[in-house]
This record gives sequence, structure tokens and C-alpha cells, in this order.
Amino acid sequence: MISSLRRKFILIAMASLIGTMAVLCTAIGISNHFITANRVDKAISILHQNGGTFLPPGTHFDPSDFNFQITPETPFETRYFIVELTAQQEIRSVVLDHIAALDRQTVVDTISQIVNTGAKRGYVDHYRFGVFPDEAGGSTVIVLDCFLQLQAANNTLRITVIIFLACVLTVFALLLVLSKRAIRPFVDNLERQRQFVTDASHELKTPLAILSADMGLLEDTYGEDKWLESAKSQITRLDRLIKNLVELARTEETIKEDTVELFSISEIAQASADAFQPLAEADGKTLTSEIPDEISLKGVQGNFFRLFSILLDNAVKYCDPAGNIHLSVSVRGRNICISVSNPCAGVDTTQLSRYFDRFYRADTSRARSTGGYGIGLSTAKAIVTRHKGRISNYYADGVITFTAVIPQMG
Amino acid sequence: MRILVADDEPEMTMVLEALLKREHYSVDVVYNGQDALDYGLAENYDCIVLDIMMPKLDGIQALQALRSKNISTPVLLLTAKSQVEDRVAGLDSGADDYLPKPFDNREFVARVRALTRRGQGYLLEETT
Repeated sequence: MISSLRRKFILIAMASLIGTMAVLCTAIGISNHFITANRVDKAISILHQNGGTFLPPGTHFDPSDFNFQITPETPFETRYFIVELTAQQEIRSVVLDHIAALDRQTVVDTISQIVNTGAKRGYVDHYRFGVFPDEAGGSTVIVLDCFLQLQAANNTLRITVIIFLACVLTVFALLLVLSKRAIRPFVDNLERQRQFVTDASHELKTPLAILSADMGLLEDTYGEDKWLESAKSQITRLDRLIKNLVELARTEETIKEDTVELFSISEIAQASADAFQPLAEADGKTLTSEIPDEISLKGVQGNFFRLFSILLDNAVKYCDPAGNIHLSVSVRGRNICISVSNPCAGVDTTQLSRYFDRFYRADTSRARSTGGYGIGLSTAKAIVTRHKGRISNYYADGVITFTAVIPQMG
Repeated sequence: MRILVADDEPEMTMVLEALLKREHYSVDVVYNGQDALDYGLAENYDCIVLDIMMPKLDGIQALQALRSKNISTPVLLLTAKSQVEDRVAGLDSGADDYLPKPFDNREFVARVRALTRRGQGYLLEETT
């Protein structure tokens, strides 16, 4: 139980970190590329507006302002070529003064690529283009070299991803080391709670024993008396309650490996069904079962005797008069499925999930008469949980069903 | 016949003494493990009733000490520690019987009778 708590803690922490950082990296990456494209498009449109040259530079330019600014160096830093196309997509004129890398042929190829995309702006290799239609039906294509900008943007992205991974790994390593310390308060609390129940039970039993012995002596001295009988039965009840609480506390401990064995759950189910058959019949109810042979399960055998006992005992207690209780055991994939159902009128479905809480009793008036302390189902849940299974209940058509699903091989 | 009763709860020893005296046993009462050991060594009891949780020496320690001195008096462990491991540990330490608390008075007396019967050779007693 502790290791699963630790695993959950690490999982949640890592998921939060990865989620946040993924959003961060994506945001940085996208906005970076977006800003880069925007700036280049701005430069292209300025070129177009000024017939292929830049405006004179402003008087004030500041590197910390990320908007596109024209400095005296801009015309020399910006590498571009301009092509004018006719209405028939043929090259009318080419201005190559401001580009070094391309010859006529490459230009032709690039232009045809651009024309084929049919877009007004976009990227071709490491160039950004802008297509501007003119009045005569032709168009002007301005192509800007963005090698440096794209390189910068990609580098930023790469660095961001690397840092992201480094952070994730570091935090993971830290969590592995520190998670034990982080969950220690919970572990200690759990341990204290278990110890408390065992200690308390011992302390409770001592005065109970004295009471019980005193009652016995009183009875011998004064003969049978209904008040004495009542006192004795309450002592018995307390004794059983303490026993159940201790059992619950011990069941909630993780399994010691040496008590785990492979056994036939079919046999245990059958034995339990046989044991409860007369009890059901004495109460005017019937018990049917569906238990295939030879189903084995890896776990603590004694726990499963107890599990069937709890479920069947509850079923007999809370089954409607003359109703039928049904026990079934089946294999579903890698799990064993144990199911006990019985007709039960007037179940409040909103409270169903609380049945497994300690001391919870469903129907107070009925519960009083049937006895029990509300510990049974929480013990059942503890048994199923320590075998890494899940127990649940549902209510349909007046029938309440309890189902435990447990991995067959532990 | 003489019985030694050891338990740190005076009200418990009161009841046990009353139950045993009714059966015409002679009863000595002590309240800790060290006294239990001392008395057990000093006198020849027909049965010793020991609680486990006691001050000075606990019941198991006192029992082991008695057995190591070859005192073979039958011992009944009477205790609130009732888990299987406790029972096994108690019996393996040299006890002849183990009765968890709370117990039924009649059962307690019957078990003491059974242990003292062994000591006397097997006599078929008439049930009262």
C-alpha cells in the first residue's frame, strides 16, 4: 500500500510538471515562429509598398523593442529578390541585386514552386515569400531570405525542448529520492493507527474480562437474572467488536510474502456456500451458486474464507423474505470475479458507495435487529484491496449485488 | 491443592481467587512476574495461572525462567493477547494451556482442573 501511494505521488507530480512544461514549450515554440513570420512579412510588405526598397531608417531604434525596425543596416542585412509575373504566370522581370545565392535557373524553379502553392504568403525552403497581385492581372512576388531567423527560431525551440527534458529527468530523480520523505507522515499515521487498534484492543479486553468474570460469579450467587443476561450479551458483543476491529487492522497491513499461496478458490467458494446453505434455509431463504471447478487464485487463503463468510452472512441477513441468494465465481481475463447478490427492498442508491465505510449501516432499524457492527464490508474491502483487487456494489431491479474483482496471479 | 495466580489487575485476581477457592483450591496471589518466579521456585504448586502483561517480568519471561530451573508445574497462560502468534509463542515458551481473555468462568475452572489432574496421575473425577 505504501509503495502504491509513493508511485501515485510521483506520477501526479511528474504529470503536472510535464503538462505545464509541455504547454510552456509549445507556447514558446509557436509564438517564436509566429513572431518571426510576422516580422518577415512586415519587411516584405514594406518592400512592396516602396517598390522594392526600404524606407529611410527612423531616428530611434532599440534592440529591446521586438517590432520590426528599419535601421541604416536593414537594406544591406535583408537579402531578397523580386519577380514580376504576367497574368499568364510568366516571368516579366527579375531583380537579383539584393540576393547572392541564386542564379536565374534556381529563381525560376523557386517561383514555380511558389506559384504552385497558390498561397499569398509562406515558406519555401528557408525563404519567405509574399505574392501581391497588380492591376494588370499579373503579380509581384517578393522573396526574402530568412535563414538566420529560422535558424534562431529552431535553435530556441531545440534549446527549450532540451531544457524541458533535462528538467523532467532532474525532477524525476529528485522525486525518486525525496518521495519517501514526502509521504512519511502518511506512512507513520497509518502505522500509528494500526498500532493503536492492537494496543487499544488489549487494553479494552482486560476490563472486559473482569466484567465477564464478575457477571459469571453474580449469576452463580444470585441465579439467573434477565439484567445479568443482558449485561453478559453486551460483553460478548463488545468482545466480538474488538475482535473484528483487530482483524480489520491486521487485514489492512500489506501481505507478508510467506503467507501467500496458490489455492483453489472454487473449493473455498463451494465450502462457504455449503456452510451457509442451512443458515439461509433456516431463515426461509434459498442459496444458489455458480462455481466452476478448478479456478485457482494466488493469495492468502484464510482471507478468502473470511471474504465469502462476510458477503454470504450479509446476504442472508439482508435478503428479502423467501428471496434467493446467488453466489458466483468466474474468470474474466486475468481476474477472478466473485459476486454475491440477493433481493433487497428499499435500498437507497445514493448511499451505496458508503457501504464499505467502517461502522456504516445501511438501514438503521433493520441493522439493529440483525446485529453486526458495520465492520464486515470494510474488512471485505481491506481483504480485496490487499490482494490488489476492487470491490463494488450496485442495485438494480430490487437486487443488490456485491462484486469483487481480483487479479488471479496476485 | 495449591494454585499460584499471577496478574497485575487486583480485580482480576480477586475473581480468579474466588473461583478457585470455590473449588476448594488453596490460592496464592502475586501481581508481577518477578514475584511469580520467586514464588514458583519457592513452593511446590499444582498449577500456576499466569497473565502475560505484567510489570518487572512479563509472564513469558517468568515462565521461561521457571522452566529453565526445571520447574515442571503445569502452567495456564491467561491473557488478553489472543492472536494466533501470541498463543503459539506462549505455548512454545513452556505453557501447557492458553486461555484468552475474556473467558468463561466455567471454562477457566475446568482447564485448571484438567491441568492439576495430570499432576496427580489420571483420576477420573466425578463431575460436580
